[in-house]
Amino acid sequence: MFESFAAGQIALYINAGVIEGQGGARIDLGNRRSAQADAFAYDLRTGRLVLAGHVDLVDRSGRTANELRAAVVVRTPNGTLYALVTTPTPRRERLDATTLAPVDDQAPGNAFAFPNVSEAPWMVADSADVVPGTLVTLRHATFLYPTRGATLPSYVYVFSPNTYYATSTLPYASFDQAWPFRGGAHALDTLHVRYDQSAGASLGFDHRAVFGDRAYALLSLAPLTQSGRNASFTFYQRMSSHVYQTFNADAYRQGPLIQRPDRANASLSYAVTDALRQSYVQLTLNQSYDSLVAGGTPNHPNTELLSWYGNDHPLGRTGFRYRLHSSIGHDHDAFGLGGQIAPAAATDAWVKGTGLSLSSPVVTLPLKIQLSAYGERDLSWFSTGPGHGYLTNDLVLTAARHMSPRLSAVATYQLLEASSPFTLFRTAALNLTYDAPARAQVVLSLQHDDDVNAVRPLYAASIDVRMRLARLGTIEIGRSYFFNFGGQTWSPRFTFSFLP
Amino acid sequence: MVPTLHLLVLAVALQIHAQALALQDGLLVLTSGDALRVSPDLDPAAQRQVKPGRYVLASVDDGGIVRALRVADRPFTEGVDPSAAPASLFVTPPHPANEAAQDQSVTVTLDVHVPASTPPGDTVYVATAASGWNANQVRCTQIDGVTWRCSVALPAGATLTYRYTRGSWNTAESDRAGGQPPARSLTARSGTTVNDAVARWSDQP
Repeated sequence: MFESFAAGQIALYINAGVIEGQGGARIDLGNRRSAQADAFAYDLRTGRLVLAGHVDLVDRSGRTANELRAAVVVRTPNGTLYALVTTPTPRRERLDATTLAPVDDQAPGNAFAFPNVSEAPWMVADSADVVPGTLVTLRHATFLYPTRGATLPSYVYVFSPNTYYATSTLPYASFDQAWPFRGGAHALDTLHVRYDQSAGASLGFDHRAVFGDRAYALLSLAPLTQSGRNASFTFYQRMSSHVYQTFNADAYRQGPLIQRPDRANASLSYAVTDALRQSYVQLTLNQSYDSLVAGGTPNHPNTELLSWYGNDHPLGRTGFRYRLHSSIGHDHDAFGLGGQIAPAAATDAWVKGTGLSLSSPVVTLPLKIQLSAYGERDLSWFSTGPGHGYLTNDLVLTAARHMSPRLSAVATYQLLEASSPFTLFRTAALNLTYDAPARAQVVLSLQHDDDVNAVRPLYAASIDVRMRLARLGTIEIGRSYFFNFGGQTWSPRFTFSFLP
Repeated sequence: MVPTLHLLVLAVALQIHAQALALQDGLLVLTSGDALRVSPDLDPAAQRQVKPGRYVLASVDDGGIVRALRVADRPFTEGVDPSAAPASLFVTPPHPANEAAQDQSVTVTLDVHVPASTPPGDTVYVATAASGWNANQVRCTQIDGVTWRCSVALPAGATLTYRYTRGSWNTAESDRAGGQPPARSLTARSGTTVNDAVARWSDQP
């Protein structure tokens, strides 16, 4: 159910979660009730509404409650109506929520507080449609952040505590400005203006359908404006307190939009998970279509996997904690499994896997250095190929020290090795973080990689600056320097974002 | 001119600072739920400046009539609060004392324990409903290998609805079984420090 607001100007205060209208405010309260006032303030998160100045209420019969002559009417979050009436004698009244008629004079004085908004408005608009507890659609909306921008036909601000409105499957981009332009009680459409130095500028789109706190469906298309396009569909459903299922479908198309594509492929996956007392089991089914274009390799490999994952458990009283997992599955590829399984011509393989991770307690060393370690070993056995067994080891050491409440240093060392495909890299990194006053933060990172496959720069230095600008929100800029990695000096990607 | 000023000074008994809601039917209505009668001679320019939510400094005579008015976007420090003024000055009936308004900003500290398998080099963020669930709204500072500290500023008494991420919704926190948990929630109070734990990340089993 919508509640509609219109006024000379409606301002959205995003941190306070308030919309405020000034000048000839008209409010449709639903259930054929409406109101007019000089101004209104509506707390989006609690639903508390204040109508102020020459308030006229119209009840369900269309009758204006003229006898009230209210200067202020307040609707509390639980729906109680209070009025401050000016004639014939000034008094405070409690009103009947249905008939809008005065019930008694039991209106507390502090019921009439007006939201104290100390920030600049984020956006102004002509009208607003509110889905209580969920979102507000602002019509003819103009951004005042980071500076006064173009007027949009509509803008949707989501304040729902339901995070299903936030899920996204769009790939990474250096810059992604979302424009939620249409929303309802169960749906949200968003256009994304994106930029990435490797892919260039593009548009993306996603449509979310939210079914309470139980399920959601998400369709994403990106990029819309380039020849290689991805479409992704996700459905997530919590079937009970301990069982949930996820379905994903992804498709890729390369080529002009209205002609036969040069390349097209797709994949489907389904997973159902059951949470046990100290672990969970998951069944995953995957089906790929390597080419959907006539003339391409009609390959459609599939995998089925049954996995068990344990929770974290203490290792006696040592302070160490461990976690176990194991799995069994089957791989099929009519054109040969290839990849990490030899001989490549094998079309079917059973796969068994197990793994153990161990984490240490955080130990305080001299100079107040906090040291911790994490290790993980995974083993896989295939029913075909020489040796049949594959091993992955991962070791991470972390040392942290706080030089002052604002300055901290974290050093990490990671050793990762895998037997097939053979991988070995050692990474040493040092991060210096300075938390400046007024919510600014500077992070300086130095990293050295020793990678046998040489896919990472030998040395890299990065800086990331995040600042809170009083009227503009938060701005973050980051970039890395590679010290001549394959002819590259600056990283091809930088991060850049505005946040409210 | 001088005698008039002299008479005005004598007439004014008290200055009341408050937040205004309306000036209607000869009454100045305040957010405290009180109303003061306004003199017909009150400066029309000052009357036009009264808008819901703006702050006023009302000079009131012994009879409770507003003789002069100053209007601003910020609270006045002069004068007294309506609760400290004699109830007889107001035309509305007395009511119990109001609770003090809690409009100051407070900083809430979130100390979060993350899985030891959190990739080194990744950063932990807080996403809040207030930002429209921006996945990297508040950047946290690493304390040690498994602990991060996040500071969120918000009005006292406000509800903070939030979840932890590693910068995107593909790397948001999940529950012990890898499912998507409901958002966390707390009420902001000065000096609040909360200890949270992330069971798993959604991109890690």
